[in-house]
Parts: sequence; structure tokens; C-alpha cells
Amino acid sequence: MLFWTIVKVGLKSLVANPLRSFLAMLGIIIGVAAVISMLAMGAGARNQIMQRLSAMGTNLLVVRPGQSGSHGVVSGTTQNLTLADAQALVKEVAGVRRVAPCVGGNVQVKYLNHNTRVRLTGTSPTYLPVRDFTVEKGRTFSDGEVENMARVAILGPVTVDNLFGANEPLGETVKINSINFTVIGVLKAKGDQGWFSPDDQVIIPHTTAMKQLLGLDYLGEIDVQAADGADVKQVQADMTTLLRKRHHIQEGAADDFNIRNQADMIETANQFTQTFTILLGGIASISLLVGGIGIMNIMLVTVTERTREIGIRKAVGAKERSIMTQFLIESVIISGLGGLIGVSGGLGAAVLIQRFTQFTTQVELPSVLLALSFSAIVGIFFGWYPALRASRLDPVEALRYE
Amino acid sequence: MIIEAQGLVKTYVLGGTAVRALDHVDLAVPEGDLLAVVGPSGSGKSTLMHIIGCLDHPDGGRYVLAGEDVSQLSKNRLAEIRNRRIGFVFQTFNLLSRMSALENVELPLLYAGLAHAKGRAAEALKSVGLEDRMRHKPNQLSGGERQRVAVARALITDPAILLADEPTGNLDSKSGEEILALFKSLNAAGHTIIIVTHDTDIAARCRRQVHMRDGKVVSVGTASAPPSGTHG
Repeated sequence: MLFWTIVKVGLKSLVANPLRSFLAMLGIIIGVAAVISMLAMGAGARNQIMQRLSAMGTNLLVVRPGQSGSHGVVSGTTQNLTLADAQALVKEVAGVRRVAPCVGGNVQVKYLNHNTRVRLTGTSPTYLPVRDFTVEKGRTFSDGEVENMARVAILGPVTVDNLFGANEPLGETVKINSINFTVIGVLKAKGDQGWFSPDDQVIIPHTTAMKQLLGLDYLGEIDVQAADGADVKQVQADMTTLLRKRHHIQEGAADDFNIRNQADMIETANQFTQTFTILLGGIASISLLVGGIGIMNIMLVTVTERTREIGIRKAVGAKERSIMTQFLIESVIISGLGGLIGVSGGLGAAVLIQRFTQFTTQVELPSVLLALSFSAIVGIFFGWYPALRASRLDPVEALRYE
Repeated sequence: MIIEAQGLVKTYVLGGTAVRALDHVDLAVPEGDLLAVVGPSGSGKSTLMHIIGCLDHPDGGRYVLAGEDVSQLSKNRLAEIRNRRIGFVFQTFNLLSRMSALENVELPLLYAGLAHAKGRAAEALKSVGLEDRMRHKPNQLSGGERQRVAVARALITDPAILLADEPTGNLDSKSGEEILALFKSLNAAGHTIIIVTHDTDIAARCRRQVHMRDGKVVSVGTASAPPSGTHG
């Protein structure tokens, strides 16, 4: 029997029972829509993180105290990075353009009766170009102000909003952990980075931060900007050699610091979003599986109901293979059609998620093809047994069936 | 001989006891015959029809249809034999309800692998006088019309034998007469026809009768009109 004839017969029997066919499809529709929208969320998250990572500044190397162990980075356990280390890096390593020594902490910032808790970074003026920040209003602090432990602060735009609302912040005095600081600049907005907002922070000279505010003797991190065109890997190796020498680390002993470049960070972020995507996709695939079981159920009912039809077809010469093909095609039509409807549902869901939640979504062609082919496979897999049962029916019994 | 069967045996197990539906049945049907298989229900006539119609295997014995021993063929080959050599007409018509008369008649040709069979199907419907009912679904047709669609379907592949199982059982007497007349004219045109029935009136109007009881053939009779010697 010809393929298109079988497809036509299959479509006819689906149309004959529209509600049932739709219910059989529903599981697949939901499953495919879920897979597509979840994968779209994963792809959206990945693209967003990549975008933000490149916004963090190019040629960035971050030195942190502590060993980098097999399970990632163990940091903050040792205190050994000094200002002298930072100065040595910029003086002695070729290919280093700028360094920014950093200390950090969470602080309470107060202006009149407005209060906010933000991330504070104590650093040098080089921090802004290294981290690709620009001052939108006012100015940055000078090396002299660092030297003098000046109580000056640059605020992120979100922090300014929180504290000042529509008022002019420049020249105003804010209290950071009860110490008065003068606001001298406002950063240009960069956008949310997910785990940390660069627009909600306070930047002050590192000397002021270490001695007056946080009481620290060692640096939390040194941000290093490699020169344009420099070999980042080579710069990283030279930095390691220098710091090992300065920290008097024996040959064969592990580093007491770690240096991460942006490629590492992108790698880490990639791994994270991949795990996220697999997790979401996995959960969504379960609903596809459940949809397949729904199809199997309907097909078994259909085969039982149409026992007599199968008997008639066999009496006029249908072979087992023809019957098998007919029912398999019917279940693939159900799952394939459900898959197509599910794709449009998934596209719609991705748009809605983007619009009404904080997630961004991006539908990618491979994930659509994946979901579609998966739904067709589900149709074949779960239609197999009912079709086999139909094809094996004894014609005499089937013709007698009432 | 179009049908030669010797020592056909078929046993069913019903509720733990074996029932011998066919007990060493011999049957010979010459080409062009109009044969009635008669007997009360449970006599084994339906089982005999299933085996002759290649819907079922005999447990024992030999069955040669149009020169080919079909008693031990595979299911696939039996399906082909049913498709090409046998036309069925059932008591309950057994038409596919979702399909038009034309599509029902076309069905055997599709399973035979012919793509464009509509023309032949239309001709077959015309030959049973249903040329203006081709697009109707079975539930839009009267009982007699449905049975004529079934006859057209049975004839479409030009089979060696036409097997009819109580073809008039679900029809009023007028429609039954028409179907019987149709069979007579088909037989006159050379078709071999076997009618399975419990109705002795119908059996009496066939050329020959095989009477069955308890799985055995008890007598082979001949209607008075055509002399029995002419065919086999």
C-alpha cells in the first residue's frame, strides 16, 4: 500500500476523533514546548553571561590569594597579596599595562535618612580603565588622594538612585559605616551581571578603605590589565614566576595565589550555563516521555476499537507489515503534529518568558530540530507496541470482534 | 478443480476441552461451481470457510487452491493469496465505515500495490449497479446496496473463488433475492462461488450442496435443475 495512501488513512482516522487526537497530542505539545522554552532560557542565560563577561574589561587577569584546587578556587584563606606585589607586577612584568590593587567588603551607606547596603571596593584610579568603567558625572580620585587617604567616593548609578533619588549627588557627604565621605563621581551604567551588579557599588581609594574603613593589611585581589596585543598566557606565566619569587615559594611547592584570565572565566561560565541547560532540558524531556506514554495509551485503545477494521483489512489482503505501518504512521502523525504545535507553543512561551520575567531567552534552530525529531522518535517508540499488537491480530478473531 | 481439500482437521480448545471443528473433511470444487455449504450452527461450516478462505491454517490435511498447496504457507503468503485469489462477502457486510463505497472497493487493489485503482473500482461498482452511489459512505446505503458494494470489493481483484458467509442473513427478503440473483449471474459469467448458509431454501437454489454436521461432511447433494455430472 502506498505511503501517501496510508498517511491519508491515518489523518482521516485522527480527524474522525478530534478531541481524542488532540488529547493524545497534548502531552507531546507540552513536552516539546517545554523543551524549546527551557533550552531557550539556557541559551539566553549563556549569551547574557558572555556579553557581561566581555563588558568586564578586556585583557583582564585577576590575582587572588589562595590555592586553586582541583574543585575550583579556594580563595580568601590566606593573606599574602601586598601593595608591593601590585607595584612589582606593573614594573617588572613585560606586557602589563595597568594594575589595580583591590580590597572589598560590604558596607552600609547613609545619606540623610536614606540607607543602603552595597559592595565597596577600595582601589587605585587605574581600577576604572582596568575594569572598563567610566565616570559619567564628576571625576575620579587622583593618586594624591590615594596617598592622603582622602575620604572621597565614586558611586554606581543604582546606588545614587537609592540614596539621592532625583537630587544632585556630587559634592554631597555620605556616611560609609559612619565615616563621612564626599561624593566626587558617578559611574556610567553597565547593566546587571546577574550575581553582582556593577551599578550598585562604591569605589574609594584603597588606602582609605584598608586603614580607616575595613582595617585590612593585605589585598583581596589585584586586577591586572595586559597591554593590547600582549600574549595573555605569557603575561600570566611571567606574573606567576614573579609572585612565586616574591613570596619565596620553593620549587615544587604550590602557588599561594591564583591568577585567572578571562578565558578561564568564560570557560567556567560556559560550564555553569551548560549544566543549567542540561538540567532544564532534562526536566522538560520527562514531559515528552510522559506525552509518549499518553500516545501509547490512545493507540492501544484505538487498536482495540478498530479490531474489526484490522480484520477486514487482513481479509482483503493486508499483510502484517501494512497494518504495522498504518498504525505506526498514525502515532507518528500524532506525535509529529503535536511536535509542530509544540514548537509554536515553545516559541510563544520563550517570548512570554522574556517579556514577563527577568530571564532572557533565545530560541536556537538546533534545539527546535532536536525537539521535533525527539517527538517523532517518541511517536515511533511508543507507537511500536500498539502497532505490533494490531499487526499480529488473528484475522478470524478480528472479524468476529464486536 | 479449483479447490481440492483432503482430510482437513481443525481443533479448538474451548474452556479446557478440545472441540474438533473439522474432522477429516474432504472437499472438491470444480471451476465455475455454485456450491452451498449447509449446516446448523456449530457444524463447522464457518471453520471450513475460514480455511478455504485462507484466513486460518488447518491443523491437518491438505488444501490445494488453484493448483497451489496453501495448507502450510506463511501468514504473509496467505495474505497475498487472500488478496489475489479470494473474494469475501460477509453477513455483516464488513465495509469500512469511514470510507466511501468507492474507497472500500478500491482497498484490495491498494494492498495489491496498485496506485491508481479508482477507475477499476468505479467499474466494479457499475457492474453491481451502484454507479450513482460511489461517493456514499456505508451508513448512507441500504443493506442491499452495502452487500452489493461488498460483492464489488470481492470481485475487484478477479479472484479464483467468491466466498459468501450468510450473504443474505442481514437483508430483507427482496434485497436477499437481488443478491442471490447477482450471485447467479456472476456464476453464469464463470465465477466460482461458495455460499455458506444455514438457510436450506438458499442452498436448494445452488447447483450443489455440501451438508455438514459435527465437523463432518454428511452428504453432498445436487439441485435438480442442473445435472450434477456436468461439472466434475
